[in-house]
Amino acid sequence: MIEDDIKEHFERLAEDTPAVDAMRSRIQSRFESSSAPSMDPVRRWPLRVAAAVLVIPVGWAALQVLDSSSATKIDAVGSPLAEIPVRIPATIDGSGANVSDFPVPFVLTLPDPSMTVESVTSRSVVVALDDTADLHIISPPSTNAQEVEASILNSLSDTLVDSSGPSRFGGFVSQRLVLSSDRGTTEVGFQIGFSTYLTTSGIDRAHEVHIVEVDSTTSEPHILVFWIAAPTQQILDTRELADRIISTVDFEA
Amino acid sequence: MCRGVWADVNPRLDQLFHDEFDPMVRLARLVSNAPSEVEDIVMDAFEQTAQRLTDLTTPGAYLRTAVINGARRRYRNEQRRSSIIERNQLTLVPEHSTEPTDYLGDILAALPEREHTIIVLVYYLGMTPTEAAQQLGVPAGTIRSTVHRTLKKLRTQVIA
Repeated sequence: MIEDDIKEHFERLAEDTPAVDAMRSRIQSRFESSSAPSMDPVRRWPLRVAAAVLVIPVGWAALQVLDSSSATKIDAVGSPLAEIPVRIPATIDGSGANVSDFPVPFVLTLPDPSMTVESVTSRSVVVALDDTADLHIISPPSTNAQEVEASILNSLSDTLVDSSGPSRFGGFVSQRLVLSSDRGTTEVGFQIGFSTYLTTSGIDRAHEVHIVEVDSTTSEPHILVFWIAAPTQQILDTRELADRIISTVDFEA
Repeated sequence: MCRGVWADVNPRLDQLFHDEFDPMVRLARLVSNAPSEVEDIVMDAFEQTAQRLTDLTTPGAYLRTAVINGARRRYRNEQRRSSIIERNQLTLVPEHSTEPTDYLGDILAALPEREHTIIVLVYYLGMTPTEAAQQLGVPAGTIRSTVHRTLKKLRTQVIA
């Protein structure tokens, strides 16, 4: 069977790796003689705000996104999230963000007090899920999901697009992009026109992006981008956590 | 058993090196298909891991990811280099060559990078589709469909 042939081939090739002992000695010598450069593989945003529930004016009047009768709504996975009653003002101290630019507020419930809102601007919110994983919520100035997707893909550097296609996230129907490091280091950006909404780089990072078209009965469709960034080996768990968080989004009238 | 070079300074790193060096060398060899690059791949991976060791709960998994990432990059570079060479010259089969031909090895070495990496993870490391999916950050369905498609291709080419 071809599968057995493949296994035998790999076993043979692996055993044929020459001079492992000599290589081990050389690497140990290199470690002894080199000084490891300092490297901060995870870029951290400087702003930290202790917040359990964030009220963010995002911007659409009379939005009917999470209609309970909608076929697109899915149940949140995992155990029910505990309501954390603390609410904070929409303006984050020191951020300088004018959140009145957002049209309509929404409430986002964070299930763990160790999660923090890293920053708020007029178009994006960054939530630190832990020391290495972030959730970005971006409101780009576009009403076209295909245009937003194209902008993201054109902004990538040293990043593989592992897959793209329809999906569901946090109760929304979405267009999903799965991205991963090409050379160990990923640099991604998200630009539309002259505005940059996200740039991030790091080692062994993976990203999952959900582009959501939000319908409203009283205005044109709008686009939300949910962007998850985490170490490669953590992306699946982070995605599940972010899905639960976004499923709590409640747009306020 | 000899004490490692980090035994006094960083026993955790020393233990990692003791446990994982040989397997990582073999993994780098298979994923990269570039024997001359293996030492650099493994060295870089251990350096990366050493820098983050205090933050890692599973340093072995991080190290393996670093090795796989570095090896994938070398594999892609080698493929790009080979395609440039092949565009400009014919490969002649010697009439009386005494070297055994390794059709399967040649076909595997010519696979696109992702297919090649997935086949190594599944058939050398014995990963399940779910484990391979988690390793590479892709859906398990992608792993299954890639394995299915690649085996079909291999069966066709080996028979031909």
